Amino acid sequence: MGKRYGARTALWNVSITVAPGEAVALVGPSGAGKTTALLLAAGALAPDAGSVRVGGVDPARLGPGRERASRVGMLAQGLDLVPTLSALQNVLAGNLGRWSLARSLLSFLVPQGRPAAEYELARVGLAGRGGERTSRLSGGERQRVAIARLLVQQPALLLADEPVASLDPARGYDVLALLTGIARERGRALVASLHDVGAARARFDRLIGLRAGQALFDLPAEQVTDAQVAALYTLEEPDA
Amino acid sequence: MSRPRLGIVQVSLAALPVLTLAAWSGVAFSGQAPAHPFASAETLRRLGAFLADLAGFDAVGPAAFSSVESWARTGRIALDTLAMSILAMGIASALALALVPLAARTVTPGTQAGRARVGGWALFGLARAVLVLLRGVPELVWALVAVFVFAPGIVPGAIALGLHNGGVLGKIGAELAEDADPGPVRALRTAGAGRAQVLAYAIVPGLLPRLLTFALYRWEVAVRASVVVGLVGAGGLGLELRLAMSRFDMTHVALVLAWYLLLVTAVDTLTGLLRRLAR
Amino acid sequence: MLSRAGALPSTLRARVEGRRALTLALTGMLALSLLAVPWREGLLHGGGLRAAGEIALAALRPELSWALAGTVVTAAWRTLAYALAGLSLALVLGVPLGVVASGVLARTRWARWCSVGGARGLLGVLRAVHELVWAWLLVAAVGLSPWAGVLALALPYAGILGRVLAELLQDADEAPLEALRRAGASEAQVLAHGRLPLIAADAVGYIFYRLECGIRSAAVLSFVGLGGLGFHIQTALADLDFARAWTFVWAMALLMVAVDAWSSAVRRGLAP
Repeated sequence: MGKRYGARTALWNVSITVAPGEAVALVGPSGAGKTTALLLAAGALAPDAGSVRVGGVDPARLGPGRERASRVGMLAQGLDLVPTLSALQNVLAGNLGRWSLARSLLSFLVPQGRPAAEYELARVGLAGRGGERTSRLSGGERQRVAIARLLVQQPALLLADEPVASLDPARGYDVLALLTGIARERGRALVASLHDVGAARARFDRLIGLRAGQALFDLPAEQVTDAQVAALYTLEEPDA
Repeated sequence: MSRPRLGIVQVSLAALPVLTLAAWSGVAFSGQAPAHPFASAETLRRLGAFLADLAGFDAVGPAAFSSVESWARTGRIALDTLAMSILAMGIASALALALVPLAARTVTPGTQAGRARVGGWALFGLARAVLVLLRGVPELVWALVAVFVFAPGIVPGAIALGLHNGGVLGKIGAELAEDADPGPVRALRTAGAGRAQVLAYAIVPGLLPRLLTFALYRWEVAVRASVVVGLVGAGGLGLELRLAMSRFDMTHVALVLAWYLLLVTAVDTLTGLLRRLAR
Repeated sequence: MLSRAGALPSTLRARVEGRRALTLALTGMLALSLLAVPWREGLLHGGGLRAAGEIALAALRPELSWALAGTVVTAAWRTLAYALAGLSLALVLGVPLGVVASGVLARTRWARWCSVGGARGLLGVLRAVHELVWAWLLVAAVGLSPWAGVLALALPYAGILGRVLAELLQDADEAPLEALRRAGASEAQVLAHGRLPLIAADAVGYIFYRLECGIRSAAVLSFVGLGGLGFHIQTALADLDFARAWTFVWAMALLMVAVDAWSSAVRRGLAP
C-alpha cells in the first residue's frame, strides 16, 4: 500500500499482513510513516495505491459506525478520554457503536453492561477504580482506561500509536506486556508503533522496520539484528 | 475512595432543583391574583389585539412609522442613546481603572504576604465593598437616584449605566489582576521593582487587552439597558418609549422598538468588528 | 517561496496597527459622544447637589427596624424566586435551541447551515430585547401576571444561554470526540457522552453566573409592578424616603454577595 501527502510520499510499497493473535511492532525514526500506516489500517485515511483489508473488508469503505468499530480499534497518542466522566463511563463508551441512543443515555443513570466493563478494568489492573474521575487519574492509569475502552469495543484489529511515549520506562514496559498479552490470549491482531526497539524485540512477535516510508525489514523479533536496527536510525539523514 | 465526594458542587446541584421548585410555587401563590388565567384564550386574544395596535390596524390617523419625518426624529433620539451608552462605558472604564489597583490582592499596597499592613487591608476591603455596591445595584436603581441629582437628558442615564458597569468591569479587572501570571511579578519584585512598576510592567500589559474585550461586551449589554434607564426618566429611547406608551400611541411604540433593535444590531456588529481589530 | 523571516514581523505589525486603530476608534467615539452632552444647560438639577448629599448620607444610615426586616426578607425571597423560576424556564427553552444552534447534530452541510442560521437568528432576537422591555410589552399585551414576569426574564436569558451553550459545544475538544466516533458512536451519542460531559463544568459555572445576573434582573422586573426588592426601592424613592430605600438596596447587595460567593465556590469545586 502507499500514501502521499502532496508531493511527499509518506509510505510507499509497504505490505503488512498480521494474523489474529499476533503482535507486530512498527519501529523506526520519526517521520518514517508509522502513524500513516496505522491511520490507513484504521480506515481514517484512504490509500493512494494498494488496498487495506481487515477481515476481508476495507475499513475506509465501511464509514464510521458499528461495522468499522467491530473490526478496528485504535489507541491514539492523546488517549482522547473524556476527562470529566468517571473511568467506568469512559470504558463503557467502547459500547457506543452497538448501543441505541436511548440505551446510551440510560447508561448514565444505570450503567449498561457494567460487569464486562468492570472485568476489563480489572484486566488492565484498575479493579474497583471505575468510580474515579478520569481527570484525577495518573497518566499511566489513563492509558489503562483507554486500553479497557478498546477491550470493551472488541475490535478484531488493535492499533496503538506510540502507546508508551508518555510513560516512564518501567510503566511503559508493563503497558506493552498488557497489550501483547491481551492480543495473544484473545486472538486479536495487534499493531503498535514504537520508538523503543529494545522493548519491541522483547515483547512483540514480529518487527517491521520503517524508514522514509519504506519497509527495511519484516522479521520475527528474534531474527532482527543489531546492524539492521542501526541502519534504521543512522541512515535517517545523509549528512547527520 | 471510589464514592464521589460530597462537596459544594454536589450539595448545590441537589439544592438547586429544590429551591427552583419552591420558587415556582412561590411565584404561583404570590398573592398577586391576575385578572384572568395566563394560559387562556383571553391571553391570546389580548396579545393579538396588542400586536394589531403596534401594527396600526385601528389607529386614528396615519401610523408613526409611515412618515419619514418621525423616523428621522426618533433616529436622533437613538443617536442620543448611543452617545449615552458610549459615555457610560467611558465612565465605567475610568471607575474600573481607578479601583482595580486597590481591589486586587496581588497589587493593593500592604496586602502582600510579608509586608501586610492593616491599612492596606482596610483599603482593599473598602475598594471591594464599593465594587460590590456599584455592581450589585442594577442600572435602573442608579438611574432612579441619578434623576434626583442630574438634569434630565442623557447625563443621568450615562451616570447610571457607568456606575453599574464600572462595578462589573472593576470586579473582572481585579480577578484578572489576581490571576495574572505570578512569574513576571515575582521576577520584577526580586529585581527591586516597586509596586507601581510591577503594576505597570507585569500586570497592566496582560490585563488591558482582556479588559478591553470584556468592556466591548459590556457595551453591548449597556446599549440594551439604555432603554431601561430611560424608562425611569433618564432620557433616550427609553423615555420616548414610556411617553409613547402613556399616550397609547402604539404605532410610535413600534417605531421606537424598531430603532431600538436597529441600534442593538448596529452596536453588536460594530463590537464584532472592533474585536477583530483587537485580535 | 514565502520567506519565513519576513512573514512574522508583518503579522506582528498588522496586530500592533489593529490595536492602535482600536484605541483611536474608541477615543474618537468617546469624544463624539461628549458633544451630545448639553454642557450649556448645566448638568445638575436645581438642588441636585443637596439631594446627592442626602442620598449619600442615607446610605450610611439605612432604616433598620424589626417591622421592616420581615418585609425585606419577603421581598428578597420573591426576587430570588422570580430569578430561579425565570432561569429554569430559560434553560428549558435555551438548551434545545443552543444544541440546534451549535449545528453539531446536523448530518449534511445544508441541514447544518439551516439549523445554525435559524436557531442563531431566533436566539439573537430573544436576547436583543432587554428583559424589562419584554416585561413591559408582555404586561401591556396580556395584563399584569406573575407569569408575564417569569416569561419576560426567561426569554432574553434563553437567548443568552442558548448562544453560550452553542459556542461551548462547538469549541469542545475534538480529540476525545474523534475517539468516540472510532468506537462507533453516532453524533447524538458523541453529544451525550463527549461534548456535554466535556463542557458540563463550564456550563454549570455559567448558569450560576447567570443566576447572579437573574437576581438583578428580577429586582428590575419588579418595577413593572411584580413585587420584590425593586418595587420597594421604587416606592421608597417616590416617597423621598432615602433611608428606607437604602435598606432594600443594601439587602440586594447582600443577596448578590451571597449568590456570588456561592457561585464562585461551585465554580472552584468544578475546576478539574
